Amino acid sequence: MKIHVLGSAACLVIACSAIYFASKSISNQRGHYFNAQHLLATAKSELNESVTRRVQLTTRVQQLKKQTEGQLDLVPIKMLNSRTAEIVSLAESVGVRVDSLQPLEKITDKQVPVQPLEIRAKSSASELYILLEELNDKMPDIHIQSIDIINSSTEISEVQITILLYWFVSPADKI
Amino acid sequence: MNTSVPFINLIPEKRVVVRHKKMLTKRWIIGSVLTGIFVGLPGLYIGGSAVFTDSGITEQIDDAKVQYANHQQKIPQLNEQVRLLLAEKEVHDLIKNRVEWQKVFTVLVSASEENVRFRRLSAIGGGVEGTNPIEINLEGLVESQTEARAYVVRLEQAQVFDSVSLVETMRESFGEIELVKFRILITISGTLQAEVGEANDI
Repeated sequence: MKIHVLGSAACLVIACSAIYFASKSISNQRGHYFNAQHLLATAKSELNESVTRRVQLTTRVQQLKKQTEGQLDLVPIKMLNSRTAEIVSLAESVGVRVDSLQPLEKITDKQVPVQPLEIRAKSSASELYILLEELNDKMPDIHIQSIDIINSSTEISEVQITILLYWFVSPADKI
Repeated sequence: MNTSVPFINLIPEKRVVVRHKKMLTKRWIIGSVLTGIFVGLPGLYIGGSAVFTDSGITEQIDDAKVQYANHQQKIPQLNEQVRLLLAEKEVHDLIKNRVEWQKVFTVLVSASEENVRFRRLSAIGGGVEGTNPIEINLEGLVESQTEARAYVVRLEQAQVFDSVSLVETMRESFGEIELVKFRILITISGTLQAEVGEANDI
């Protein structure tokens, strides 16, 4: 009787241990698998969101590039000296005598960055008219914000001019 | 009559019991071994397989994470590019919204019909966005009050300006000649470009 008890106990121990080990391992693995699946789903969802955002942004960049294509090349503020030289050269080429061209404090609190430039000069009315036309045609990124024309003498046709120019600089410097 | 040979067990009972126990022990050992082979080994195999089986999911997660990091790295650059292009587009839009002063002056001069001698013109307007009202202060000399008022009327008739007001007139002597000095205030609240373009046809 004792032998039967011991023998059946040994068989039971072997069988139960094997079943326990197998089921425990399977259960653990199942847990790991579900956990990993959840992680994978999260990673894939994040990846999809990221891909969608990237595609959206790339499309937006392409659209904006298309819209700005062929438009005027905006000049960065670091080109201030060459820009002022161009303005003076343009003014003098049409006969306007430039007394001074002074950059004022840059406007940064508006929608876009603007560099004001004040030009003081002397010329005839017709030369001034040509300068305004030339500025309009050749430098469309420069707007006239204010203009003051004085002819103090009834004999002389020469006028004194003070023009405040707004130069729309490249926003690349602002950002 | 009983012809069979009577069974007489000569083995001592103690030995018989020992032999019986040995046999049973042997059977249970065999039973245990068989249990080990048919239940224990498959259990070990299944459990071991479960532990060491790699579904490849970890690689998939790592791969997805690497791809995500790559995309995320590009997004700030793209955002920056979009911001820059939008700002550039905004500038381009504002550039178009400019006051063409030479056209304004054409209207002022053509309305004078060469009867006005301009002394001062002060104009301000537009602003960065090109939306601020435009104000023009014009000072000049004419021969008579009639000429001054006629000039104002002609400016009004040009239909370019929102308001044209003769602010003041006064007589001024230049040697023997006496002229009328006038000052006109012109305002424009809307966009000037289109209006001036149309007015140039007059």
